[in-house]
Amino acid sequence: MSSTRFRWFFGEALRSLKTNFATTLAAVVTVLIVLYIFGIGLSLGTYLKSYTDGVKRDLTIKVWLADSATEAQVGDVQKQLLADPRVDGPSLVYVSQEAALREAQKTYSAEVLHLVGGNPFPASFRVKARDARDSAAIARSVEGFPGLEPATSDLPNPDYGAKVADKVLSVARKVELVIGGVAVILGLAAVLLIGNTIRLSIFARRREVEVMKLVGATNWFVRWPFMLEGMIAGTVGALLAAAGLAASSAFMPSVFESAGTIKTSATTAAQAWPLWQIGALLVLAGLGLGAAGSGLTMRRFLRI
Amino acid sequence: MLKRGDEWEDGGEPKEPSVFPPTPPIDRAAAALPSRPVELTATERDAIDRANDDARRRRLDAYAAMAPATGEYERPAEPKNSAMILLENVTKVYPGNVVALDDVSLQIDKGEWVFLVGQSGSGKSTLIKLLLKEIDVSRGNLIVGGRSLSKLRHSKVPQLRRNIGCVFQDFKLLPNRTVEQNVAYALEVQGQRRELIARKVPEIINLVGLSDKVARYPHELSGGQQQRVSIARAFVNHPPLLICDEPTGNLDPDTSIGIMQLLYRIQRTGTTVVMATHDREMVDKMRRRVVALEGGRIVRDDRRGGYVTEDPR
Repeated sequence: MSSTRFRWFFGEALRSLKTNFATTLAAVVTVLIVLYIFGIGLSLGTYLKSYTDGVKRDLTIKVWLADSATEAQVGDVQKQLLADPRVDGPSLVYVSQEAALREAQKTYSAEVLHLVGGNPFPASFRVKARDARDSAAIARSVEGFPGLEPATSDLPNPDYGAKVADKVLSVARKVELVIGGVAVILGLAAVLLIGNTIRLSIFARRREVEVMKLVGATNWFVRWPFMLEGMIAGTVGALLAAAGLAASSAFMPSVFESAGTIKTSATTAAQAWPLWQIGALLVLAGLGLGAAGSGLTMRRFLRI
Repeated sequence: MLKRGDEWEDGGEPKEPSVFPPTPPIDRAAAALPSRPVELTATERDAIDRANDDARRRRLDAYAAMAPATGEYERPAEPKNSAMILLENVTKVYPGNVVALDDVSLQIDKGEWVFLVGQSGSGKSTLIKLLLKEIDVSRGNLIVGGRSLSKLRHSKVPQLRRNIGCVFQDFKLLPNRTVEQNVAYALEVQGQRRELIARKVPEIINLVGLSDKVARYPHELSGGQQQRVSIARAFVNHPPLLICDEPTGNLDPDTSIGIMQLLYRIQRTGTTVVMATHDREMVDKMRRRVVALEGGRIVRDDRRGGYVTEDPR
């Protein structure tokens, strides 16, 4: 399409948006409302997802080493862990007895530690799984290695936080399912609502389409201005929705603000997708919905 | 539920006093229409009759002036390759087994002027829709401008329509465009250059006599003016074929003359004109070829026909 052609089509679209101001307004408001809700859903969804991901990331397998373990035994354990493809290699940390004590000093008061006396903390390996769901299997793979602290009923070794981990994993899976389901429903609602609005506006002008076809316009010649119209209305609606989201985020910083991270635990910092990203996605959605909505709806009326 | 329904049915008066003031009884004698029309004097009656007769005579003369010169149809029928429109055993059946055209064969030559007459439902509109390939033939062969329409691909339909000018009873103008833009649209769909459009459009608008209305919208114009715009749009491409579906159906008799004269001038440039019409006066006086349809069949095809008879004289 040459640039003069495009200019003509664009001019047609603008003209028709102006003359059909009421329908334009209806379409823009529909897109605005639908995409605003979709944007809120997206923010909440990505926030929740990020939160559960963070919790999953924090699932650490601790392999306690006996004080009596030889260097060779420790090396075997390390080798076994590193050889496992399910293990996230770089996450492997060796925590010496001294380091463990220093860590404990941050949490517990000096008096408590003094009462215990000496250094009761064993050295350990801490390692994370690439996929949190593999934690249990990894823990089992080094179970019973020589040089490990013997396990007791309330102190399993290796310890991957079985109870917490299982709960976190099942909650995370449900959260993901719910987010996915809500996204699908909201997306579908968006398509149907916007599609319906466009249908109405084109239906109101079907006579015009008929006349255009009768004087020898090709389908694309009729379709282009309508599609551009849809794209313009969709983009304007999406921009307004994004602006609305930005305004809302000022009142609900914990959910929307990309920079505003919440510390739910010492290490979990969940955050929604950054606002600009959600905004960009909304604009793309508005553009696509407008174009596809008008383009597809046109088909019925072009059969003349 | 109406509380007083039963009382009304009884014809009894409502027991409670009405909030409405009582209706005065109608004076039937005063309200009655005069039993006889207002009496005119003999001179008044004569004046009205004379004016009506004059108008009618003027119209008939105008139409008669557009009749072909004697001898125009004396030459022998032309061979098939001169056909603008050729129907060979065309049948159109709509869904539900409604037969709109039944085995119709017809040849219309280049430059000819043909009236299609017949009652509503006789198949005129179906024939026009077929010519524009709005619908497809069910059986038979339909050739327009040398192209078989059943073999014409859908992507080529716009090309076909650019070669056929259409004038409809309801004008079919684009409501949100001015006169100028409506006419220009027919050129824009072809991707014509802007300079050419800027040159041709005022020319054709001038031809139909609407130079002072270029910036008006269709709803600001009279019916006759709107029809002129639609003729301008149909003819701006100088198409070889002009199809008119009751072009004067919505116009008063005097306005119709102007429209017909315009179409006549267009036909004189060599354009083939096919016109469906119900206007008896016009058909009788213009003495053109008349194809009469009835129940989807051609019942009459006269070289110089009238609306109902073979020779109206």
